[in-house]
Amino acid sequence: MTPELFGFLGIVYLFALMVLRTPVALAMLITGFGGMYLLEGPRAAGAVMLTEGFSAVSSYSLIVVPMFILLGNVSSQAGFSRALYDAAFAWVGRFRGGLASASVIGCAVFSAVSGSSVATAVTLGRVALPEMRRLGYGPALSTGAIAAGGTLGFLIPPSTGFVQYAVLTEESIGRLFVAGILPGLLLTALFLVTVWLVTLRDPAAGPRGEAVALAERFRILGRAAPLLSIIVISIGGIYAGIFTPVEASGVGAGLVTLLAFVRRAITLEGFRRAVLETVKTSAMLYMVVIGANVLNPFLAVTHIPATLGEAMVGLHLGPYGTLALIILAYVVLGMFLDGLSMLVVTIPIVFPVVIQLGFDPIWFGVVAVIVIEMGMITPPVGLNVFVVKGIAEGVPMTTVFRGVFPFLIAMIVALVLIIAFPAIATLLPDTMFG
Amino acid sequence: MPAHIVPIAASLWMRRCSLALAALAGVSLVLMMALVFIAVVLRYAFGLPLLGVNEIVQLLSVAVVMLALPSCTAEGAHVGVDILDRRIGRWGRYAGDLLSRALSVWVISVLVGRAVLKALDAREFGDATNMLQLPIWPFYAMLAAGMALCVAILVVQALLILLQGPRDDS
Repeated sequence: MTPELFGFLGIVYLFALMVLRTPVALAMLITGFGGMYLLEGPRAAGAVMLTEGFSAVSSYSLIVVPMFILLGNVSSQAGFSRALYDAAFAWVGRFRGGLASASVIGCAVFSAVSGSSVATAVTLGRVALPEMRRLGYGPALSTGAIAAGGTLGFLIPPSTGFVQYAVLTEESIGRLFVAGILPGLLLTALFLVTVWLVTLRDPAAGPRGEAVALAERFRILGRAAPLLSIIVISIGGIYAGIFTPVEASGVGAGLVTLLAFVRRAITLEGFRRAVLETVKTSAMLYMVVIGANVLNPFLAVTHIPATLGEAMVGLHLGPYGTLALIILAYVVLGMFLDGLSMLVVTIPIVFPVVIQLGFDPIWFGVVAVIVIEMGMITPPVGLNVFVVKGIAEGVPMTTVFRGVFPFLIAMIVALVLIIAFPAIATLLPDTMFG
Repeated sequence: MPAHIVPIAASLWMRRCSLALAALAGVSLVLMMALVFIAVVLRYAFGLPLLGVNEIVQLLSVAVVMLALPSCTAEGAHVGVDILDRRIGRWGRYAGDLLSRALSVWVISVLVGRAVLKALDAREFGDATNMLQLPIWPFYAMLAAGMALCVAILVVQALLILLQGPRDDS
């Protein structure tokens, strides 16, 4: 049996394990270890697993994962997300679809403290959905705005998607974080335009809220100012070159914890819950990294990435044709796999091809993360849709999927713009890092 | 005494153990955050860099992950693909759950064995970090212990699944 065929069978086996309910991390670990065992023997397989496992859990750059998750969880427990939402509503609530726009803005800002799209959708959904229901918003628009807005958590730094991509491709986490800023703002703007267009077509879907006096607007904004300042300090610190991503994550988590206790916004019990939630989520994410780190050497030994690259180049589709093929594959996979799983399973295979085609690795990271975000709201497996459905009692799943559809189009527009104008993703990192 | 009492009791005991370890992981996380925060403040505000803080933080991250992993495993919090759960039927889910745990137990047991040997080696040869000369073996031991508890949890889960038989709910 050729190594390529062996690798192909390994991938089939990996997917078979996942279908048979094996967690993604363990499916990768089993396939990677089993493959190396058969190809290189038990000694090499065991050595690879221990070395890769220990290097993953003791990786300095991966420390941003628990730190930023803690930052998001403490903010959520302390109710700081409520202040963000109130501030956004005070400024845009009086417009048609204002509550949905406030939800999108709230999601975008909360994304800057949370690296997870699910956490963003849950946190803002709990605050915003009851308000939108109270004001008589259409269930499709209200749930769609939250489900789509939540996906910003995966793009706007700090993003666990970028951290995983950086670990898998050995790119700089700081560069990727900074690269996500403009595309994140672009997508937020496109989501706001989407809300406006939806309510233009159907004004009853998003009635105007009460206008808030200017002085009151500033007062409410002031309540969100401390958290906004922490976001500026931690993310701005990376951009300004003051902090490394790890330092920024530690400073952000430390400041938000201090703020929560000083303002008596969190109890010890609340902090304990936030910490426990953080360590469990972190363990889950690290296990995925361990699995991917053990799978990758197996794929490399079987020459799968190189063979796939040669096959794609052999199709003579040109760089953009091949890219379109990759994106199409991601969209299809995104219908069945969750974002993180898709990232760790596909990047080791696709990344060498993309580099061979001459694309910028940082730019591709942004493209990949946006396509994965799309998968979070496409049927049948749209993780964010499920999460929002869980919060929005009585709203059928089909209504939520109908609600996210216009936002999906906005994401496609964002993707096309970023492919047509790569500078949207590369300008900031190139300006900052050279 | 019904046959499934023993695995249920073992499962409850392991859950308690994993929660206690998760609490220790939480303490490590808070320490890690405090160290990074204090190191940054000391460096920028007082011009006093804390040397070797990276090494402590890296080792603490081993503690955070390995002490929290059993709790994550006990609660079934690992991310999975459940789109075809209904399609594979009750026997497919039953076989899949057992196969998944059997294979995981085999692979993680190998990892535990390797980690134990590495910890013993590192202790014998005095392996230490570059700057602070912190011994590395306790962290390999922690990896082995965390993974070993995961193996025990997976074995008990497999026993419970085996005793309960195929179920209609996914």
